[in-house]
This record gives sequence, C-alpha cells and structure tokens, in this order.
Amino acid sequence: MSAALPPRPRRADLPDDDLALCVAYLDGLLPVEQQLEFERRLAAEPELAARVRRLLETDELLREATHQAQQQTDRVRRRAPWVWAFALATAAGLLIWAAASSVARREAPLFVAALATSHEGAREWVQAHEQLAGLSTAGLESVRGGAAESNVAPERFVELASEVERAQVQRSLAAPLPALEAGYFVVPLRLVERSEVVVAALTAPGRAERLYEGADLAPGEHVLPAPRFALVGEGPALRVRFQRGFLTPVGCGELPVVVAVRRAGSAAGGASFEERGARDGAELEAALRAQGFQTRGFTVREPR
Amino acid sequence: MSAADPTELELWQRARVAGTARDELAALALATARSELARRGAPAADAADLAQEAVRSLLAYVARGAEAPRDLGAFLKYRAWGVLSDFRKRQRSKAVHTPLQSLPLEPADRARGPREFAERRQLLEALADCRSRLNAEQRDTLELRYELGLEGEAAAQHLGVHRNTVHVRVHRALLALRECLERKGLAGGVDA
Repeated sequence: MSAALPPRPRRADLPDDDLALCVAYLDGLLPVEQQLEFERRLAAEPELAARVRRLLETDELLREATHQAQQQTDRVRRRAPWVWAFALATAAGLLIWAAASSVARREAPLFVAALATSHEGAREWVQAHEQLAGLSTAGLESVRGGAAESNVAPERFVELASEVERAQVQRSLAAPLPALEAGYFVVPLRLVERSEVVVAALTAPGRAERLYEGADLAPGEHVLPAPRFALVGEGPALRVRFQRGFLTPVGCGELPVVVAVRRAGSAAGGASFEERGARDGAELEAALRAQGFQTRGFTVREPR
Repeated sequence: MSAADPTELELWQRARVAGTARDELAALALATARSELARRGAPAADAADLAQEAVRSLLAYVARGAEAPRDLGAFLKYRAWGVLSDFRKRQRSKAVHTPLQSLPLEPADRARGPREFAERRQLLEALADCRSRLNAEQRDTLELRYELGLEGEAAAQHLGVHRNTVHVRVHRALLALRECLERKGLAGGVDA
C-alpha cells in the first residue's frame, strides 16, 4: 500500500483560530459582518489570501472528484452484465497480445530526458527569460486583485512563452545534467515512439512517490508535468496560468528523481515500484526496470 | 498596518452617503464581482443576482461606517468569493433532498477538449493517490465532508469534537493534499 504523506515541514503556521476561520469562510458559515471583516483581512494580508485560495481550489477539486465518482457509479449500475463479460474478455486478449509483442521487440533507447529549473511564480520565470521582458497580460497579477496594465493578449503571451520554453527544452536535452539545484523543476523529454512515462521520486528512504504518469505520450518533445503557461477561462475571463512544475519538498536535502519510459501498452505485472521499498535512486531505477521501463536517474538539490 | 491608497480611501469615504461616489463604487464592485464569479465557475443563471448581492452587502457595509480596506480591488474580489461561498452553502443544503447528479457544482476552468480532459483526469487520479496518503483522522474528516456531505456542526457532532477542531482538520488536510499535488507538479497553477 502507499506510504503516509511525509510530515509537513516545520514552519510558523497560522494560529488554530485562523485555520478554522479560513474553512468557515469557504463554507459560507460566517455571519455577514464577520465575513466582511475577514475579507478586509484578506485584502491586507496576501499570505492569508494565498492560503484561502489554495484551500478553495483544493476544495473545488475534491467536490468535482466526488461528483465524478458518483456519476461513474451510476453509469456502472445501469450497464448490463454482458457488457462487462465482453469487456473483460477483450482486455484479457489485449494483455496476452501486448505481453507477446513486448518480448519480441529489441531494446533500443526510447528517450532522452533532462531536468530544468522552474520558479515559484510567473514573474520570476518571466524575469529569467529576457525575450519576455516587459510583457504583462491577464492572469499575471490577480492574486491581490490589482493588475499591471496588460500589453499583450493572453494567447500571444502563451505563444511567446512556449517558444522560449521550447528553446530551453532543446538546450537541456542537448546536454542533460545529472543534478540540479532548484525549488521547482520540470522534466524536458524527447520520445522516439508512443510511450508510457513515469516520473518518480524518493521523498524518503523506502518511500517512493509517483510524481507523474502518462499512459500514452506521442513521439516528440515534451515538458513534464506541463508547459509553464496555459490559457484558462473563456471570453473576458481568458487569462494565463503559470504552472510551477514539480516541487522539491522543503527539508528533503537531495531528491532522487527517476524518469522511466516503456512502450505504450507494454504493461508488466508484479508489485508496483512504490511497494518495493527502494532505499536510494539506484534501487528505485531497478524497481522500475523490473517492470519493463528504461530509466534515467537524476538528483534535485533543495536550494540553500 | 499601512493605510489604503489615498484615491481609494477618498472614494470609500465619499461613498458613505448616496451620490456619485457611491455609484462609482457600486459600478466597480459590480464589474469585479461579475468577473470573479465567472472565474470561479458560478452558474450563469445565478451570476447576475450574486453580483448584485455582492454590491448590496458592500454598500451596506460602507454605509455603516466601516474602515476602508487596504487594497480595494482585492477586497471587492473577496466580497464576490464570500457571496459565492454563501450561495454554494445554500445549494448544498438543498441538495440533501435531490439526487447527487443534479448538484450544481460547476468547477472553475472546465476541461474543454480531449487534452484538457486527459489532464483533468490525471489530476483527479493524483488527488485520489494523495488522499490515500493522509492520516486516518484527516481521511475520515474529508470522507464525512465530501462523501457524506457533513460540514461544520454536523461533522463535529458525528466526530464528538468541537466545530473549530473539524475546521482545523479540514484546513490541514486540504493543505496536505495541495502540497502533495504540488510535489507531483499538479495544482501548482497560479495566477501570479
């Protein structure tokens, strides 16, 4: 089974009364006067506001997940039993075919991977790339409600940022470094054919965690978990969203990261790599190779 | 704590009595509420009423002589959030007597194409993994909240603890989930 989450890093947190207040606010449980006073605090305390936003987004995600699970259960209940028998037989046939095919294939390299630095905020990322200097667009300033004057459309901004990131990916892949010091990082990746990709990390000895999983990625270049900027919203609410990349956990020191790739549809049986209790990066790679993956190991160092 | 922007402060103070300043503040609040409610996925059919509610409650607050907020733009945004939270609470309490699939849950930034759908599915799968890694107390609290629909006082009675304790547990559990998703490079999206 999966391991428990590692203890949160020790840092000064809000008092319990404020923790409770944030949730009462999200749940609409505060009387209007108290609600307005809390909103005045949010407008004056950006860290508290950022906390509420994180809670709100996670709450919305959980509600969506619960809703989808309920819909799925309803669909399953309505489905006739013969559909299940047919689906199981087909799946079994596909598994046998996939296993036979994978044995017959040669072991040519399937990928090139690297690590690249990301940042906590969009502004830092933009500042690190001079091609984007001076650009401002919807979504870059909305945490505090204020906004810098927008001077480029969100679509154009994403286009320009993608070009910059593509160049960064190509540079990283041309000379992949085995280690990187970064608070956030991404994985540039070039695939030879359609592949299943896993990015795993060892957050503590014996505690492997699946950071990313893609069952069927197209051949070509990718940046995992996702490109830095995406468009969200529609119409007048269209804006850019910055995607930080993978977080280097606070207090981890060094984080062994393994990029693992196997041909799409070549799933192997046996215990998952999370269950094998790898104690270091080499053991984590071995556990993934035992499942038919080709692997490449890296180290991410927590910034000092 | 530093003072509000002088222009905003003046607008706020002049808006305490009926007149053009009040109309100006109302128009600003209405525009912010509309945009924020759309962004947070408020149902289109209710958005106009909710925006009006945000304006009404704001003007009443100003008229009562409340001190000006430090950042008016941010305050107006959070006013819209507060109104939306109240609305969703009312919807959830109604939904006890209606089938779950008719719940008006409209997540922000719905998936719009196959790629976004796949990304959304990946996010939800990662969320399930992160949830399974929470400690038992946090898992139980979230199960009551999301699967059984028990919040606040109802959840507190069920668990035999104070309501604030439930809220603190929910807070820490949501934060742990968020951090777990961020470690996986998901849900780290920020409007910076």
